[in-house]
Amino acid sequence: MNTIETFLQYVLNGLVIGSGYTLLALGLSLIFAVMKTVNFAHGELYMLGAYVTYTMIESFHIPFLVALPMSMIILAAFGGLLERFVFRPLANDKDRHKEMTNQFIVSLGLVIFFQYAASLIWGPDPQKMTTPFSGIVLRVGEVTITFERLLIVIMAVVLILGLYFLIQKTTLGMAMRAVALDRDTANLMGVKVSKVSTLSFSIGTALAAAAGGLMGPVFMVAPGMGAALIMKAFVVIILGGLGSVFGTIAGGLLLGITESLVGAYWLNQYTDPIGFLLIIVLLMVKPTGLFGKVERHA
Amino acid sequence: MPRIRGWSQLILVVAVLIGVPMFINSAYHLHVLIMIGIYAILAAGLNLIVGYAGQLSIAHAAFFGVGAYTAAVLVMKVGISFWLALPLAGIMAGVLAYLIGLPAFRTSGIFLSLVTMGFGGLAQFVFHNARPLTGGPDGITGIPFPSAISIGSINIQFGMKQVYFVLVWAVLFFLYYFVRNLAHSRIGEAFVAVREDEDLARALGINVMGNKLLALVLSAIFGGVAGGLYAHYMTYVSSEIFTIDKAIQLLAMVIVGGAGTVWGPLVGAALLTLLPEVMRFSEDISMIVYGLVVVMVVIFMPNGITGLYEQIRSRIVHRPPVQSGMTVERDG
Repeated sequence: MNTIETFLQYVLNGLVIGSGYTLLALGLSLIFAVMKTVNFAHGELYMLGAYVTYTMIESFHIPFLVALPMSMIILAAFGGLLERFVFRPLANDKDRHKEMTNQFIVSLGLVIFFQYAASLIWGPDPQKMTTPFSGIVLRVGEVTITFERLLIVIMAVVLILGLYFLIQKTTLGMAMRAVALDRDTANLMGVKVSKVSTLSFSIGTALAAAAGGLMGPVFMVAPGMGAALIMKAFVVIILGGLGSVFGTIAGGLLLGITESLVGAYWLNQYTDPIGFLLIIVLLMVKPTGLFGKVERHA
Repeated sequence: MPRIRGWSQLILVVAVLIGVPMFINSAYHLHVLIMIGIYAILAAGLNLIVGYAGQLSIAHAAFFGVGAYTAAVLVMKVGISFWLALPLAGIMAGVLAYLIGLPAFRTSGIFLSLVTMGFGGLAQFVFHNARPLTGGPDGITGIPFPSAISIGSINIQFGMKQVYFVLVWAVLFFLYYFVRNLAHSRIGEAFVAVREDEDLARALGINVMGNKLLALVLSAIFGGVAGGLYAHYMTYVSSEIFTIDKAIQLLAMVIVGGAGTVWGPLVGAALLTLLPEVMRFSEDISMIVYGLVVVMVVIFMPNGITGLYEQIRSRIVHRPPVQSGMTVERDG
């Protein structure tokens, strides 16, 4: 295997992981953009998405390609309930800073809650999720990719296009953009802010579930799988800029490929600190984050 | 919570310090009380930056770790006495906090949380990999108990849990006394001003950056001291302990107990340390309840458990609660 092909292999691996990061980060970004909620438990919704898919395949023998959208729907409903009964009671029109802080702390509580609930239901050990595509390997020259990994990229493209269409071309999307821009004004203009918030949270959660269901077969399904990724999703959002679908895609792929290459050529798979370092440096360079506007009003 | 004043407070403190070791003989119960003491010191420190100064820092486990490793290394490798190493552990954590605070406070709000979380993650990475200093993944084992003190003919040995309880809780009461006085001082009021409205505070001539740094450094000193006490009690430290998860749990103690109150962190630390102990039959279930407690408290008791008294009273008396920033600021 020559060096160029090795290099391409790492880039491809990074592209796959990056697609997963992008899906996860898009949901997080959508929820933040519309509701200004920093949902730290987004990684746990990703984890639950993976487990629901896993359970449908292993216990109910539902085909993977049916189980995945079903898991997205189930998690979407669950996300809507979370928004309605956990996050909305903390909405505070007089003090947005307090609202953000409280919602952030609640989401930290949810992180603990979901992780151990998953551990109680499915056990603490990582589970292998098998799909009909397990074992199918595509090969171009010396560069290889399993079909399960390729599916992450394909589904990411499909879902991102769908999301883009939803945001740009539908009435709901327009309402979401209006609420993202200015909640109070949107409310005055007759946008049903609470309904839009619930739906945004549902859609964001569904994207997390999709990411979980897709990444599950490639990596293991474990209660801590979301906690390991959430920091990276934040890096992606800050890297790409809030609310920008293309920024998030660019950020996700950039982080995935950088990590893959740095891990391969330099740090010997010690990629964990990269996320931490990036988040520190990025926020240092742009002190209020790339979505600084929000902070100033808060 | 009704106020307990002056002498009666002192009597209560002395009663706890003398009564508990006299009447509690179970090693397990004493162990839990010592752990509550250590977490209460950590939470009290975190409360300074989170509760009073209103900056949601998630790096506190890192200061805890720096204190623990500093004390262990100073005693075992440099060979100085524990009684000198303990304050040095606090100072070391304070210095680190200053170095982290300088860049981190360029950000604010939720971004500060993310940056401090980044520093917390990096710190754990360093603990885990700086093998010559921290023992890497193996940690440091065989840390000695604090050296014995002789007063006249009485020789005080700290290997006994009763004695260690008195040490930890004496430090705890001293630091809580410090917090109480600080809260009423100009510095404490400046912290609250920064929390309530940064721009207004700046306009009033308060050095916002300086006060945030001071709050963070003080909070880290508490954390470092708690780390030193922890290392020489457990006689073992490893990087597994000083995780982001731990930082989140410490934050939960402050929030659940009542951020920005003097005694809230002690209540929160006691409750959230006892909870997993009471539910020892299943770690999963106890942590599920843990998470649920955090969620419920934030939704239904925005001022924490110690704020409940005020919350209920204001409902009965039909007076609006003194809402402010994160929590109600009250006397201790």
